[in-house]
Amino acid sequence: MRRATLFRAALLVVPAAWREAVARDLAEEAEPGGRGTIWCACQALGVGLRLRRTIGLDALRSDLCGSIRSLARARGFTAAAILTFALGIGVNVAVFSVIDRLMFRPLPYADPERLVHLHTASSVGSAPEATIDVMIGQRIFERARSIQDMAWAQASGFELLVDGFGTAPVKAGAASANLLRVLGIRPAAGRDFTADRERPAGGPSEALLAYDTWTTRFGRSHEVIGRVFDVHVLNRTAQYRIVGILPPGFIVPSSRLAERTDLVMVRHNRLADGDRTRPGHDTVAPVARLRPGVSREQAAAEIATLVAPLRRQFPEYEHERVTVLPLRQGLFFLYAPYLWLVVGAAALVLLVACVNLGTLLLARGRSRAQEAAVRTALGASPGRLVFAATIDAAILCVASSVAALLLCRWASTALMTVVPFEFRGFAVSALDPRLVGLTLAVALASALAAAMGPVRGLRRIDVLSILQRGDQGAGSARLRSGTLLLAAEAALGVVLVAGAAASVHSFLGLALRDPGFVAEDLHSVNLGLPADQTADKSTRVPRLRAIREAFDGMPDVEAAGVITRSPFIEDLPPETFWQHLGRSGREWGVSEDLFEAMGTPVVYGRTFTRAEVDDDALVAILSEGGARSLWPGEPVRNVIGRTIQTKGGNREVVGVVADVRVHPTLPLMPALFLPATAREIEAGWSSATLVALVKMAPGRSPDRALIAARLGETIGRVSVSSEPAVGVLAPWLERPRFQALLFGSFAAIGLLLAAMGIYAVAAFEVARRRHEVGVRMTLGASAGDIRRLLVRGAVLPVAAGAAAGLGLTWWAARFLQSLLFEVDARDPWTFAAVALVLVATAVAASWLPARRAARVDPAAVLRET
Amino acid sequence: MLLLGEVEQLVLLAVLRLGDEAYAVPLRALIKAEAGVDLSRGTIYATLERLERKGYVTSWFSDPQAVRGGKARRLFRLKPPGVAAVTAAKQGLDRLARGTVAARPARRKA
Repeated sequence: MRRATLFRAALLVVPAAWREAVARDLAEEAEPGGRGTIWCACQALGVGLRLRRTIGLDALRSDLCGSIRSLARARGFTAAAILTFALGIGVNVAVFSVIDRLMFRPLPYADPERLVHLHTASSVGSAPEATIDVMIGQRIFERARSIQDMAWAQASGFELLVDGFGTAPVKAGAASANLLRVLGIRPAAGRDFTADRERPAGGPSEALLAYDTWTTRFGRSHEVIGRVFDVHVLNRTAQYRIVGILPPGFIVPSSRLAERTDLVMVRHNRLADGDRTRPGHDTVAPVARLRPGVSREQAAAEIATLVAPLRRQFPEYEHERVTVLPLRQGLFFLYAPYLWLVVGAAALVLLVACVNLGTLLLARGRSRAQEAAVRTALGASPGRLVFAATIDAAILCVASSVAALLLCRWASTALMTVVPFEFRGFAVSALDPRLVGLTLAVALASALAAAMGPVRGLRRIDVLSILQRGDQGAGSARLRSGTLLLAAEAALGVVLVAGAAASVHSFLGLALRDPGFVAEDLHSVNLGLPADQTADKSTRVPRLRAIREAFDGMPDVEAAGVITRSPFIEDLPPETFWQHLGRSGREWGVSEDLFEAMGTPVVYGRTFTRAEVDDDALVAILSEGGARSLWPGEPVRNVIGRTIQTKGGNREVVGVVADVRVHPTLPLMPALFLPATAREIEAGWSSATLVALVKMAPGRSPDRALIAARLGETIGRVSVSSEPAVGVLAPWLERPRFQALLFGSFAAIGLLLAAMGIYAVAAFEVARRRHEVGVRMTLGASAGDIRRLLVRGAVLPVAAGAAAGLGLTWWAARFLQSLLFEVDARDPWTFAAVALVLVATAVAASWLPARRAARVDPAAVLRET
Repeated sequence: MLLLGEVEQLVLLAVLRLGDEAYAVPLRALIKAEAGVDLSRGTIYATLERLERKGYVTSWFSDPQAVRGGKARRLFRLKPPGVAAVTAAKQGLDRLARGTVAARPARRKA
């Protein structure tokens, strides 16, 4: 009995049209061979599956061809649907191609779960970095039992000129010799760094070449391995031997992201020295490998125990907490909130595109309802109808994805120019197999989501009423779904537009902020002086005058001044004067004409005279912030004539200049300016590097060769490099600019998609209510009344959606706030403006169909029905 | 005219040979005996389904077995397009094989 039931159950797999014949044939074959019911059941199962596969594939082919033909006939709809979805998915392809390696792709190291990143956090120069103090790092390296080994690395922080590498500058990073061993990887060619204690003293140092650089500059020639290159940094030249090639796709494990790293130079592993007895000002970014079986939590607890005595002993470490994060999280945690916000915004755009596609499919579903009714009457199963409805969406989504991938590939160069420089090195091609696979998977999932509306409509088909009277019966249900989708689109659009408004406002605030100097046509000329003269203070004045005179009469030079260190670099230890007072601040030695060259206004008093600079007179100039810091609460003008005590003696304050703010988001530092030859100024002179700030004629750049030649005649061989001041400001504006551009683009796309969706629903509404419009106009309604009626029908759901969207934006504002500069993400005026923009979009998009409806001839409409 | 697959050709020829008694069981046995190809039952049924959809064969149900719950056989016959298709395929192969070793008659074993 049970076996017979099993056979009957197996027969259910066979399609109904074949069931009886298969049962008869199997019974006929089973008897002579003495085969039992189990055999029949297995055979029935096999035959049934094979038949279903054949019929299914044929049906798929048939439906696919039918859908393609149908979409090809409706060219306008197809083009609109592909364009809208391509916009949505294209945005995600572009974003994902940049962040995949940053956030999701497995790190290219062995056993990455055992790698951790140790840091407190600090801001170094223009790029933030997660580091720890060297003394703390040495304590951990020496005593932590949970850690197997520790290394450190820094992605490219400077550009070098390297003989034999061509004329393009080389971006170089640095690392300890044990980096690759800690990461568990080997070079692609050549060998690893020699361990510190085994490296012979003297002779060339070692470097590893990046795989991409090896390919592009040396054509993967093995001859470069073992070659020695001269590396030039300002006035110093060092020799490095290329000992190996880094593996392809190698990421320097540094939280200071870099556009690219061409060369990794070995540096001494300070963590292994164990020589620090006091806190210093240098930091390091260590990467550690945990011992097998040790968890990250255990390591963090042990490190906290090791650091606790240092925190008690040294006040500088009182607030230091060492964080132990998985390596990926540690490398990118400084950027993670920003990147997640970008991912969220891109996903929001995709959601809007899905909703919009669903709206378009719903509007198109009117003709589909009649076709579905006919097919149902002819015997099509509900599953077959659902499949046919879904395949339209799938074809559109896949076609959109292919178009988006190709567009992103074609526009990749243009896209890279707007991506912040620190992320560019991580971008992959839009045709990367992983990216293509993920895009298609997302497209198919989106197709399923977008097809939900039309599929729900198919479940409520009244075959008889549709065949008799058309689809008016189903139209109202479809309309309700359409208005819901419109409201959803409006809600999502509000979030995007509000984010864009806040980001643009923030960027403009930063960009328009007065930096305290005129950056246009201002150049920072870095001079590497001959080393043999730097120790002698009596040569300061002649060298200073020689440098000033080198620029006199130079073509296109409008003004020039000398400063002992670049004012554009922030990563410097606190200066002696301010440190003595227990606060942070900056101290520079300047020539008498520096502020004129910089365009920094002298707010009160005067600048130095030439005689005061030459004679190192006991005078000083303060910034406005410096004056307020020393004499809080007093009017700044009152500090003129006051005295401050420096290492060189009591100096009279003769002038106050405007604050110079190079990094707009960092706290303003008080500044002290002394004559360039001041006895207490060591920086610049001791390192044999001075900086000339040169105001050039518009569009001109300093002639480095001429400068070097003029200085060579007076003070000897000088190395000269220069960079424009706008280039210094640009990185600080790059991310806010990118954020504004990104959210602005997302908002524009969101609005466009919403407008298209509103138009489609409004057009459907007009067609559906054609008879009603005819009756209303017959009864006396004017064209204006009709237009108002139809526009209201589109605007009301959008307004409701916008109100819901404002609530969503209020909640999401907390995630955006940290990325804004002096802008409130919950500003009520912004919210009101955004809601108005959405409503205005709804009015504009529904106006054309409404106008068309108001022009119908009521008599003709009534005759039709 | 659509090209015929090898399995489709075998099934069409077998249906032609069996006349009015062509159904899945003897079709499979005949193809195995004459062509030496052991097709699975699923392949036979799937091919018949496809050929019927293409319009090369037609099917009808025989009288059910004279027992309670008796099942009917599904029998197949070639339609003119099916005859034309298999004839054209066979003639095409013969023309192609002319003059080659494939056209020589099979040697009888002594």
